[in-house]
Amino acid sequence: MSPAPVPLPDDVLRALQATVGNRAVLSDPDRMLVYESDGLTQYRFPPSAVVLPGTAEEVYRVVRILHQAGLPYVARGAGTGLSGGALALNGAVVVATTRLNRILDLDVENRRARVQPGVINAQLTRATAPHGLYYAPDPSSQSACTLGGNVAENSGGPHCLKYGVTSRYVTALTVVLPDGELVRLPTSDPETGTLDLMGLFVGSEGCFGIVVEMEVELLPKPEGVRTLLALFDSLEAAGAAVSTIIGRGLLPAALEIMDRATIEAVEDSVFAAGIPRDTEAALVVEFDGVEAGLDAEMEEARGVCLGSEAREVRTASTAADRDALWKGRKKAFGAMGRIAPDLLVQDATVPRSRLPEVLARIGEIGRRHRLRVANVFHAGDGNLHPNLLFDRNDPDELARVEKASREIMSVCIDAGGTITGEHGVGLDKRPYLPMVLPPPVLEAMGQVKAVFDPTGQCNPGKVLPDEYLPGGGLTRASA
Amino acid sequence: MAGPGSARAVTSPDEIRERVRSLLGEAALDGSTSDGGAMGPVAASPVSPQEAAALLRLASEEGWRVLPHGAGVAPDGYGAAGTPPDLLVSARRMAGIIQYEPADLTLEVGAGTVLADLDRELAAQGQWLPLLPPGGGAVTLGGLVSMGLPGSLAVAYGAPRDQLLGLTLADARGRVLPLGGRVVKNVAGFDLVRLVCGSRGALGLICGVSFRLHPRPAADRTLIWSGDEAGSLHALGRVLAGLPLPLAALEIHGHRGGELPQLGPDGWGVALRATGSEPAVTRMVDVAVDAVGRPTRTLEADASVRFALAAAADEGRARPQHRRKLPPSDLGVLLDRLTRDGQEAGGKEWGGVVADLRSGMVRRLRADATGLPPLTPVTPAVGRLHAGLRKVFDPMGVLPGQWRYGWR
Repeated sequence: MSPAPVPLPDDVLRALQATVGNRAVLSDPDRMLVYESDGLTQYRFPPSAVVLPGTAEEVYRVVRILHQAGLPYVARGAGTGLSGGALALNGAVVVATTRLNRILDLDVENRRARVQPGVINAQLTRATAPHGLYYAPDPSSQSACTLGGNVAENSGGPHCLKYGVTSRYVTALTVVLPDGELVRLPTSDPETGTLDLMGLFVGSEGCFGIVVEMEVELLPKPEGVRTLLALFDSLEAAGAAVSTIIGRGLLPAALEIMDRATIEAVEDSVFAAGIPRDTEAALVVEFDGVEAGLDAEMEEARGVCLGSEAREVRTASTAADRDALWKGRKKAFGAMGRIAPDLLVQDATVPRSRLPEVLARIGEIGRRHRLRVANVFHAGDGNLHPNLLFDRNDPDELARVEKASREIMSVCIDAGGTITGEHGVGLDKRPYLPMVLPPPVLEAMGQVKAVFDPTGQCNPGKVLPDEYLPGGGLTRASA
Repeated sequence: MAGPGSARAVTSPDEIRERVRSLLGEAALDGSTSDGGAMGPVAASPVSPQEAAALLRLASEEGWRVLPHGAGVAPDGYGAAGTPPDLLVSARRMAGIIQYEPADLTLEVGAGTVLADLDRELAAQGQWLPLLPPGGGAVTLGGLVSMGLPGSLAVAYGAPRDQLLGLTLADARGRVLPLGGRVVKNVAGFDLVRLVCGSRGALGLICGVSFRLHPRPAADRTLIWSGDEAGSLHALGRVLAGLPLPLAALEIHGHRGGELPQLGPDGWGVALRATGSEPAVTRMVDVAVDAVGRPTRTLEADASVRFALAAAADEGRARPQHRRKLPPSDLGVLLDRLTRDGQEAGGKEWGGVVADLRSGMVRRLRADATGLPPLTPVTPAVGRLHAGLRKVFDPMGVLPGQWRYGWR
């Protein structure tokens, strides 16, 4: 299945070893196995080498060596990305940020943390918790994913309904540009005339360079949190409850839905959360903020759910009870691993008011292609995650998964939505990008990419279709 | 007239006017320019992104210096002072709601829409676009995005870049670029929306914008602690900033008496704004008062909104002005220094100052930059990126990127 690894030229390998030390350069195929794939599990691309720099300076020296040698390379955090952004196409050298995992400074009074890109998302929140602070973006992979990876993908999470995504919390970025230059990126400033290059870099999926240091804003932990789990006999009813909650002017911190296929997977697994297996939809609603008023908001949301024919509403105000209500939602992906060998986690956003019809059409697409589709999604944002269950060793099923994916994307675009809400384009969504962006926009994006990376060596073959990428996307002459 | 050092061909205002008329018709020409008089730049207002793109393409072919502009109420005049444009282009005729679905809490409007007008439409639906840029309600949405400046609500609700979902840009290659979208989460492709936000016309004319909206808060209260000097007020503000409260705004205002009488006779005060449900606002106010004592005055509901709008409007009028961001804990030292320098100068030239106590964003109003930290220099690598990005959207250098900000 996977293409043969391309060995690195000896002189380049020696230069990399001299820069980071022999132990921090992997070139033995067995040891590089784990770097062949990421969270988009149906693909494997063996890198020609893996380099693990230990300092920012080592990163720019490594990038300079690769740039001068004309070799492609790709940055990699924890490899949890779901769109294939960290895959080493065309034998790219993987530059892993794993060893850059230090919290450099925690400034409690100013609510800022200066960190290296390999710090794990949840690790930062754990380190700041004793000071009453936390880091807001909370992607589902937060116990494993890195902050540098979060910058690359502009990651969201259940709570970005109220708090926004990664770009809002990054206050400074130092990066190594694709030619090996170390720069601190400016934001928009009328006096110096600069543009928001930091904002442009966030979400650039590793195509504009490698983050070596970042500063993020922390938030004070909310005084109180209330969580509610409502069980419905139809997805439509759950969707209607979401619309009514928003329509009443309530702004929950999270609004999450799981469908019956997901509930069944969870209840059949070790993560069983005690939701009846015949429930068609489970809605998690969470409010946070100052204590006063939370109970009233919670009561109002409860009333809305009951008014939308919820068969049962459970509420929680203690941390332990809240964890129980969240359990099903948080363990959904893990539970699905039990029922199928492979899982394609799709990602698309539609206007919230179009959710019910889009979900119905996704269900129909799944039935037509004889695929199991389980929906887990951020209902408040209209951010859908239809999960397609399959077996990679069944080529016919794999082909149906790809067909169904394209049809799902098309349904979401027709509803006024987009092909990715938070997972990025990477490799997976590249063919779909022209469905949502017209040629002049693709052209402008390709030109912007070329400003940062004229030779196309930095994360080749990602985000844009080849015809819009500098160097045609793949540059390796020796490949 | 050609700008200093420019080798470009010069076209007279009359010729430019004639060319614009034959391209877009008489309606696109504005009767008077902001400078007034026949010798000022020609002013044109295309009616659609397609017209804007055609106009910018023509300007590019002819080498006319173009300045996109909004309502003209935001602080301006940065960059190469005195270099006049040949053509002012505005989105004035692209005003009004394009798509508004209250159930989705999202909105798309023409860039020429005035913020105060939009606010009235949103209020009717119980919704809110929590942005208070310099210039207040008089700014256009396109101007607001083009300047990209965070206002007093930015810590709580995000700066324009954080609330913006998408925009339509007409660039100087003559392209219409619909960027981003109308959904609240969207990472399809590179984030050109953020690049354009705060680009001050350097990449093209913003023709339409879409935003996420918020429920209009049920309660809105501003507490003001007045004083006569920076030191004690900053100490008080620092205590408030340390409270774990989701306040809408928390700023220290210095020497703004005439413009903002609510601050008291000395024009110094800490202003805390709380928005949300009535019980939540009451609770936030109680916690704040417990921590630092009773405020000098409390502004309720409309009065709270009026104060915030007046402060933003004044900030739009203030010339010159300078902005710096520093760690909030360093604000006290800075304010002391500014005060001391002001006293030594006899207080006459003191101007005013506003500082966000949580983000550390300081705006020095009606005064030079004396006493402020130096600007971050643009390094050669950053300069190269700017020059490259400018050429993506404006290869001939007719937009302010080249002739104002010098991105060559």
